[in-house]
Amino acid sequence: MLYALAQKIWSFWGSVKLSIVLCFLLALDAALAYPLIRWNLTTFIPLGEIGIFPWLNTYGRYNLGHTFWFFALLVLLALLAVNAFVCATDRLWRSWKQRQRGRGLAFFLKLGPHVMHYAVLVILLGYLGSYALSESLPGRALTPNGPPLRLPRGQGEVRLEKTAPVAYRGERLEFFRDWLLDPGYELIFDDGAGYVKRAKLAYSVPARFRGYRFYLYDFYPKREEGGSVKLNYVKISIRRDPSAAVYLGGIGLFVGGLLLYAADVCAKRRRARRLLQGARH
Amino acid sequence: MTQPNLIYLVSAAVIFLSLLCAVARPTLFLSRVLFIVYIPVGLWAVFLRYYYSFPMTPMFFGTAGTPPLLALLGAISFRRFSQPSGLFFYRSLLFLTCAVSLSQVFFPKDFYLPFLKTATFFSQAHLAFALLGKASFLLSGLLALELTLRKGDGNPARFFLYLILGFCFWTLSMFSGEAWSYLGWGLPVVWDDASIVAFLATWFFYTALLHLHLTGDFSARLRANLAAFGLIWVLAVNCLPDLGPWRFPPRF
Repeated sequence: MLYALAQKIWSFWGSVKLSIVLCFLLALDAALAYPLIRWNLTTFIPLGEIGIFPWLNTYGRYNLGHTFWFFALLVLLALLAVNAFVCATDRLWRSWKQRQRGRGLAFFLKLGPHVMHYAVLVILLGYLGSYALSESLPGRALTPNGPPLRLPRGQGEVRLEKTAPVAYRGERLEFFRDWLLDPGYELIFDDGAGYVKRAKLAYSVPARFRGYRFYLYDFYPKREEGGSVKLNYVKISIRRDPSAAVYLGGIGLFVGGLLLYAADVCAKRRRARRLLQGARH
Repeated sequence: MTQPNLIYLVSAAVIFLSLLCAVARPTLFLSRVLFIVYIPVGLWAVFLRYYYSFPMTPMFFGTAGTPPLLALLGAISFRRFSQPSGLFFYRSLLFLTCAVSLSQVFFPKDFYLPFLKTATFFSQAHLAFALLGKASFLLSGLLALELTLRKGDGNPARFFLYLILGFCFWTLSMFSGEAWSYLGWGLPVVWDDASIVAFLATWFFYTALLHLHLTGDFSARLRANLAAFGLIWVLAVNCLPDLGPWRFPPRF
């Protein structure tokens, strides 16, 4: 009796029809979110800075008119995660039982879809970890050769040093000439115990020190000659996110699964062609 | 007007002429010639747009860059121009390519200052895969539309191939975007731009369609209808947000 009930629950959660319904609902929910985010950007930007649970408790809770879709998204994603896990495990178990001796490669190639399903779970878990557990210090300003910034958890301090900037010299974007592509700054980390590290600070190339990553957020001057206001500063954001490796690993796993699936489709087509040629002969 | 924009305008004019010629049967040959001419001209405009923005990625180019790729994939995919169904497909392909091109000529949005954070491989890959993905989805929708309007169940294999291709490109684009977001902001999703959810919406929509196809439990007609609906979905969810303000005469 109990076993039958468990089987019923298992097959309900492992249903592909449920996956289809959930994916359509998620698509609708995300499409509905577009105008709500676009018209209320200020509500959503802090999500990356303060983390998911504080955000849900403040911005999310008090702006339900345009954040309700996010709550729905979380519920639907949770349901999809359970569905993907049961679905993939169920089919993997069945394939394992049906595998034939001496056809290891064929079995391996068939794992592609399962790998992709598990990868989705890993990615979702990584996202949750990233928004729930990461440490974020946004908008810290530094000036070249100015006072250092103390790092969190007594990890030392960081200073900014000016090096050679790189400006746009091309002919193609005329209006962009002399604008800085790379402001030419270096971060100097000092852990206070004699260890000093220098790292370049540029867009999309975060500097790393003791598990923290330092992202260039903004800088001034934007042009080589500096403009009318004599300002010289850099804004950085500091993050510590151990879950990043999880979702990046999940992405790699998904791509691996996609490649396996493509290899399986190619192998099947080759086999079919060979069979067709045999039949012709 | 800069060179890439001028060439984009020329390419839009060529595809518009090709569409006009395709309306009547006597000028169909001329339409095909213009269509063949359009493909390299349009691709050249896309290349120039990339070249002129390099090392940055062109901003809001996700829809403007799609029509030449759609025409190229369309030209590769169909072999039956002269048959009635082939003609319907050809005309609808022309109409869609022309409509998207002209929308980007008169409602341009890709005139912003270069965004320095886009000067990275992952940002370039994100746009390139998105263009390929969008073109594949639109083509899959057109092929499905042809099947939907025809009597009988038909063979969904052709539109399904582009659906899978589109899904692969879209997924790779999404992952490149996430890697870019991680390197640029340290976050998997940046909430400064609402288009991220539009991207996600289309990924879920096509994930559902893919599961619908792979189970084999549903009729070919239902699958074709939903894939044809994908055409409206991509236009509404992913192309419409890329429209800027009305500009006449077109200046970019």
